[in-house]
Amino acid sequence: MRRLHIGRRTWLVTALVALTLAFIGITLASSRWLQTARVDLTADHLYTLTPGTQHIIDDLHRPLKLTLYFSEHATRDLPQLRSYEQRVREMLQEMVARSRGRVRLAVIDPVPYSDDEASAEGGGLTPINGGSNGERVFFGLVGNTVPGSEGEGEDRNLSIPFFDPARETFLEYDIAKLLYELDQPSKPHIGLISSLPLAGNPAIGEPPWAVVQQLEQLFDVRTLDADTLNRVGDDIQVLLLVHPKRLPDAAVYALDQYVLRGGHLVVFVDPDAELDTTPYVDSNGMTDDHNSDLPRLFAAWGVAFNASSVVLDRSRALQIELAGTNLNHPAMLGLGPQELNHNDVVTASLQRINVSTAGSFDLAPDAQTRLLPLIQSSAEAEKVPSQRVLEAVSDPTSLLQGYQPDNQHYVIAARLRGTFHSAFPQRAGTPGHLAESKPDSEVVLVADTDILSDRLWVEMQNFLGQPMLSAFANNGDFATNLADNLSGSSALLSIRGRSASQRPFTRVRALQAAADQKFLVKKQELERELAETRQRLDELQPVKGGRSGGASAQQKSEIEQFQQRRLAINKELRDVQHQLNAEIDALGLRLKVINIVLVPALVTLIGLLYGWRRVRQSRSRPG
Amino acid sequence: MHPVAAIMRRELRSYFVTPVAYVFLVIFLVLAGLLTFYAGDFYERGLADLQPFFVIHPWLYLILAPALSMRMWAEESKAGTLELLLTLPVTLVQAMLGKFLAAWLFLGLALLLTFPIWVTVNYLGDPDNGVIFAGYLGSWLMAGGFLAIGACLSTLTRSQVVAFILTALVCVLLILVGQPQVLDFFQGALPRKLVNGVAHLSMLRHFEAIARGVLDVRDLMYFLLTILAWLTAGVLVLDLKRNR
Repeated sequence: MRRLHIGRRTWLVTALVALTLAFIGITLASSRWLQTARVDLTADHLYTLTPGTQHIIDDLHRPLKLTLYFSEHATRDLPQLRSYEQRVREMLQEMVARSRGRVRLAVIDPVPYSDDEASAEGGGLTPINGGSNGERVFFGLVGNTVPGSEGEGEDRNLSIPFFDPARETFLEYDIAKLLYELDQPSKPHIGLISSLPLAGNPAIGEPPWAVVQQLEQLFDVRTLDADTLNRVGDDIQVLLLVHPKRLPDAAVYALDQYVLRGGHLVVFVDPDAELDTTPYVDSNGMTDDHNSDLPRLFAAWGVAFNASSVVLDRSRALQIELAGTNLNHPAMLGLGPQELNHNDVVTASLQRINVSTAGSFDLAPDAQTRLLPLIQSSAEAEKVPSQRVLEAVSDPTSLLQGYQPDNQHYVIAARLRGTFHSAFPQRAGTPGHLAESKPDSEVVLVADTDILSDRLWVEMQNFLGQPMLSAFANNGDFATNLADNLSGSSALLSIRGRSASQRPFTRVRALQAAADQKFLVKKQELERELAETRQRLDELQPVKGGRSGGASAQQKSEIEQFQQRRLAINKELRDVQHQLNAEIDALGLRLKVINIVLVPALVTLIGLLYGWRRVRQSRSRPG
Repeated sequence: MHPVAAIMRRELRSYFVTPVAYVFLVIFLVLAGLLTFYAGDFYERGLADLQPFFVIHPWLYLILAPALSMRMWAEESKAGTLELLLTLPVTLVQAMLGKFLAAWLFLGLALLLTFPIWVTVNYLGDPDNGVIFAGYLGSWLMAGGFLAIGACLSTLTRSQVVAFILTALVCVLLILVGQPQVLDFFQGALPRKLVNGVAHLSMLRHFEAIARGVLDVRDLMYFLLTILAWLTAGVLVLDLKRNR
């Protein structure tokens, strides 16, 4: 009997040991082999390959090799980077799994002074300083086409120099783009005609605008000179025309015929191009407005555009800092998903576009074309002469005086579709002249050029000593999407600009905006009062050259009053500010009380009631 | 009624007839609120997500799960009711499951009562509710893991205090082992594969993976396996005791 007991105990202990081993074994095995089954609950499916990426991977023409370089040892003290590396590797593995052998992945730790380190640098990776023991940290991807394999096109070698954790939302896009570019036999050609310094100035070390840098990664961008332009080559798949000013007839005719031949034109015009550097009045006395228009072609296409009126939109005003105060600028607009066309592939996945002093398009009464909006204002917008906006430079809030919303969504960017007629009917006899385009031809119109400028969508950030461009709006994606879409490849569109936006407390922001507005009104009121006092003081100043001998008694008392009033006004302003912040703090306090006290108090109450009932029941029970 | 359900009901009732359940719920809710709003700066950071709320859950459970599980078997041993329970027509597995499910449901109720924070974040902004749902699910699974550990360790001793300390100790190890600092500390001393393996055993890592909004089979498997393994171990220990 005793022997049987021992046997059972031994059996149980053995079972416990076996259980431990099995648990560890199965856990490790499951984390290693069960890799792809997952449900992504995030609203934007951040962790799932988008159809766009899947499409790119499924359509690869030739085998590709990816090499992920990650400095294991040097990142021992950089846990944030290590966990991001895991995310990057998982994303790459998912793509490799999807590619069914077309994409191969190698992960290499480039230890200092090794061949691997040399090949990482040779592949175009940028190491950052700041690893353990001062080692350099490599964390990038090199992609190659496999030489000698089937498929056409030149061999390519592209890289992502460094995976910046701040770009996590663009991770999939960056990698998909790399695959896409590697797979392209050659880059599509894009033409650029601009009177703004988009391409930078290499002579004085001025880099191209970020938009152009982004375009150059995907396309072969060629700058064309409007002054000598007679014909746009058929190899130009998309032509970007930015800020056209005083185009020679020959160039206008070249554009006209390019569109009629089926070329893809994107026009950026502006009632006030803030980055136009030409002086308003030059040394020859020539006057120049910073606006642009394409009157002859617009008229032929049935487009109405007023180059001297600007769209204001107080409900989409961007906040700017002016002389130390934050205020809303009703001519600088932050347009969100509601203002972007979600049925158009170009704008569907974008979250935010910033524009500044934009104009708007409409159709002329006799137009035979259709206007399909891409970007619009909200219904709270109104249009004002651009002169008024120029005059309000020092005080943009003055634009809100007498504000009358037109209850109309102004079209800031649109596709123009239909049959286009030539603006040069008199040249009908010239050989090769086309009088009209095929039906359903298309031109894209954008009523703002500032949309392309860096200041509205990117900022330079310093990541561990490396300058990195970090986008806060999708303006660049908009331009790239347009070029992509018009040049015929749309796979990258659905991935781009995916959920770059953070989710702020909109209610608190609204409170803040309302508070700022109230503060400003009050401030202006008080400033006016101060100005009046100062003016009265000036009137009391002795006339220059007149009787000297110090201020009169009246002046003195006025000065004193002035000083006191100024102190009082400053205090009043502080009080106003304080009171407005108090509203936001009060909301915070209410929420804290509700979250920390309310439910616990209810639970206590229920407990007490239940206890009281039990006591009463047990008392009323006989015996 | 199924024996598991019967035991679960009996246990749940036993929570609520004494003030213990109410005190426990109040402590949980007040701590969760205080830590979220003050330590996590929920309101001041101005972002519509529940990251500061979920990040404290492992540490909350570290105190509350052992407190809930310590009495599961230790009390029965001490009060001498264990023998009685073992004579009832229920198997050890059923008894273990019933008690565990009662505690798990109770912690689930505590989690549900934090709903004002969900209402708050939806009132203040436009959060990703899918991610929040995943956070709650991950948190509840983690609570289940801690409770299963507690259930097993409370079979080892007659003292509730010892059961509490043992459970808290094992749980804190499972949290810490996933912290990057700890992993990096071992990185030099142990082979990389072993460190990675240890990281996969960490409760924190799997919780965080779920809380970012992705239900991965690996993470779900981990919690399921943890719960099953510790409950089975508890049953084996009880069996050992019965046959002593």
